[in-house]
Amino acid sequence: MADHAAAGGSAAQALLDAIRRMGRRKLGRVAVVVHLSLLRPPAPRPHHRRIARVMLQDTALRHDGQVFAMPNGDLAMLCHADASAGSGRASSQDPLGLSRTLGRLLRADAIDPDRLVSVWDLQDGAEALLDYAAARLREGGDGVPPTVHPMAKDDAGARPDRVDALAALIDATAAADLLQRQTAILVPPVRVTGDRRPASALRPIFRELRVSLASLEARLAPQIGGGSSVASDPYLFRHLARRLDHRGVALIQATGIGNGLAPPDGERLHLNLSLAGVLSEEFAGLLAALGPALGVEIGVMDSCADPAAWGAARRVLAAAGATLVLDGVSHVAMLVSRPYALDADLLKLDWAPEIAALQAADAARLDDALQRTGPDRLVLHHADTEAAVQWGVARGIRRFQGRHPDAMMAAARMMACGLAGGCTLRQCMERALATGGAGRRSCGNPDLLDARAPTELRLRA
Amino acid sequence: MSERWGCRGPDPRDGEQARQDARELDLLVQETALSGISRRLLLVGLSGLPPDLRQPQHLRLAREAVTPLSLADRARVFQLPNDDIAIVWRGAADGAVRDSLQAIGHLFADDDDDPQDDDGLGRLFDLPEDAAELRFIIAAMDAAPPPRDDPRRGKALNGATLASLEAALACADLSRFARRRAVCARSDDGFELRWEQRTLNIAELADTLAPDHDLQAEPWLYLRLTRMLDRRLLNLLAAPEELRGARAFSLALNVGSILSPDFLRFDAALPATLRGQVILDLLPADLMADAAAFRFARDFARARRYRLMLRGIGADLLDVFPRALAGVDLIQIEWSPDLAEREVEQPAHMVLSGADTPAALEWGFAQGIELFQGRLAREDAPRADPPRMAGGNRLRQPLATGRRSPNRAG
Repeated sequence: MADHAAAGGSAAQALLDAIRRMGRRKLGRVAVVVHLSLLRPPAPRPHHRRIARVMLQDTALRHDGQVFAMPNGDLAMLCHADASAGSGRASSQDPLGLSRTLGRLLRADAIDPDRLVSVWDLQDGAEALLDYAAARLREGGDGVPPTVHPMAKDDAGARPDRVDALAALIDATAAADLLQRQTAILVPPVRVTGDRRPASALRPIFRELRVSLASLEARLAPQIGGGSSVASDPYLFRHLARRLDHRGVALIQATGIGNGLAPPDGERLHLNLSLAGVLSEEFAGLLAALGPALGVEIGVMDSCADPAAWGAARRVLAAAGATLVLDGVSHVAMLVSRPYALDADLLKLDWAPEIAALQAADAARLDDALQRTGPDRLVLHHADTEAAVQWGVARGIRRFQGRHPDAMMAAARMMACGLAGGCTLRQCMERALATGGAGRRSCGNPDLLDARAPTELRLRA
Repeated sequence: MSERWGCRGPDPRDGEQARQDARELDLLVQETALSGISRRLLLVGLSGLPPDLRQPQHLRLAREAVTPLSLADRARVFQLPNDDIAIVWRGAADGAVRDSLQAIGHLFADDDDDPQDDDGLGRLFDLPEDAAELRFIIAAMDAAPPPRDDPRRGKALNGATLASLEAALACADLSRFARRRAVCARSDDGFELRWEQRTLNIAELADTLAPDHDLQAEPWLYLRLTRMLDRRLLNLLAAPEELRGARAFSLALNVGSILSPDFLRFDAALPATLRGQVILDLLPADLMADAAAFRFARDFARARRYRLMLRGIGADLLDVFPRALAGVDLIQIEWSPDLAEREVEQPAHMVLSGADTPAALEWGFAQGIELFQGRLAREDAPRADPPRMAGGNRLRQPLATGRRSPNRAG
């Protein structure tokens, strides 16, 4: 008896029944509860659940136990503290050892690592376990947390044939519907105490053009059905990105780098390209035309998959005076490697809310990695909240890209725009992201939409 | 099948054009000899570079590098069948020659190389004096164009083909494609086997399942395919009796594969005697694809007493993935001459792969590396005393080289 077949509410009832059936025979029995519901999104991902469950099952097998999948996603195990002779696997652990192992494994994703795993000796802790099971029973559900982060839904990967359909759609889609843009800003240095000079204005530094894969997939949904997004599969996504290069560069050349694509003087135009795209003939013309006004963003996965081509791209871009950006660096990647040793001009660190809640050791290591990179080489990407910008500013980071800088720019535009009376902040943000189509046509002042920051912006003290 | 990836096969039209260029150059040389009109010719010997550096993008950059010369009087540029480039012009163009050679030198040199050292890639000829030698060179390259990689290159995968392949692989019996490759430790008597890499022979598998396709022509789709290959290899090894009496081995896996139900089945079937004896090899790009999943997989594997190795680390990535920071037991360094002047820390935790040449072994020995993988590092190989390299051990090897299959070799 290793695993309870049912999950969710019926499993909570089964756990209650099992505790009650023990009656007075609780001596030497323990319960282990792994509170997967207390992991920080996007955890628990499918592999968290799968691994925790298998490890519990292993121990349950050897300790005459049973595993229950609770309605909130937690996993509970009832078993004997001592192993039953002659059964189980050599790899299984005793319940206490298992709880420590699971605690270590899940620690990095825990909101509170000390509350991640509960171990109850049922002789004196049965009441607490009964309360826990009753609470889960009241919640009901199906064993999967009610709010599931997109990354946690499915790890089976997207169907590869979706790539072909998407590539065909990309080829048939007008530039304005394909390309989005987003401006990154430079914030002024934090004022030193006693310095009464006003903060200088926020300065747009580059405008990134990118393809919105999510909206393309949404348009294709009627033909190819639902299922996992190609973006959820790093390999399919990179493959599609190679296909996008040709189309993206051709579109930019065809429009003469105009129609809302071109950044104003003093800002760079940033493109997302694969390494093959950077070293292609199509791109050579664009590079020659724009030179220092161009930035190229290459994913960190690409750079590590083909470091020789990365080196060649770096030399080609440097010779033209263009900026090379290492894109898509997660904070965990900064903790397990040294992306800055790839020697890009700029490194885009992806903001995630869990960064602000890292455990002390990881936080210190991340700060160290940021300092080694150099704050002047860092762009905090996906800075969608004020908290993200504040976190970055506190570490000397001055370059930001994301929804929060978008909102700051939109607010400044609306203050300067005589036609903003009927617009909302969100509308102004969305229109600034669009490169054409209905989004831009709705704006009565497109020149301002494309301009540099129209008025001085200040960070709140 | 090529072991490399991230490259495309030559366009047949390019080959035809190159042969036409060779014919026209031969005619021009003949004409010069006949007329006695002086010309100069610069031959850029890209055919001497390793195949990795003769990819279309490299050739295009090389063509751009000789742009100064193409502006000279009556200049013509010829793209030859062996990837060499010839530029013929009239009159003096010393400055342009120097600029072109420097540009080529920069292009194919390491950052710390002095391009002035590079005298091997460009060679000047005077016509009509050197006409006979040139005609000989042109004839030789036309007669025997060097193989770029593998003449059997086929169509690249697309999404639909990959989906069919994955479906076919899901139920195919792959046992006959299973292979073992030795990883050996240096010993007093030569090399002794330390563990075997269990792998699938991709070349044979491709010939059987997709004979008209080059599985690695689209590198990201190939990596996606390796997930399915991981599953099948794990299932193969989890079969009853498969691992009875097995010795230590390693598996090249995707991060996601370690967290898959297939790995858990394999783990359940692993004999107790092998626990602690199995090494899981991971790719650096896969680590970067989902570093959080890597960290979890690493800690889970550790908890189950597997050892971990980061594989395919060339000279360019040594500083990016310090062993302790990645939290792995071993780093597999992929030999290339770029490493010749590098030093590694913690050599006891390094495995040198691509130990196919004396230069590779000599470097590994000098670094104190004890574990090797390659043709010269086998139990039946001669004693591990590499011959001295003539002229010192500094090998010029432009750009980075030695890109190999990211996952497993055929």
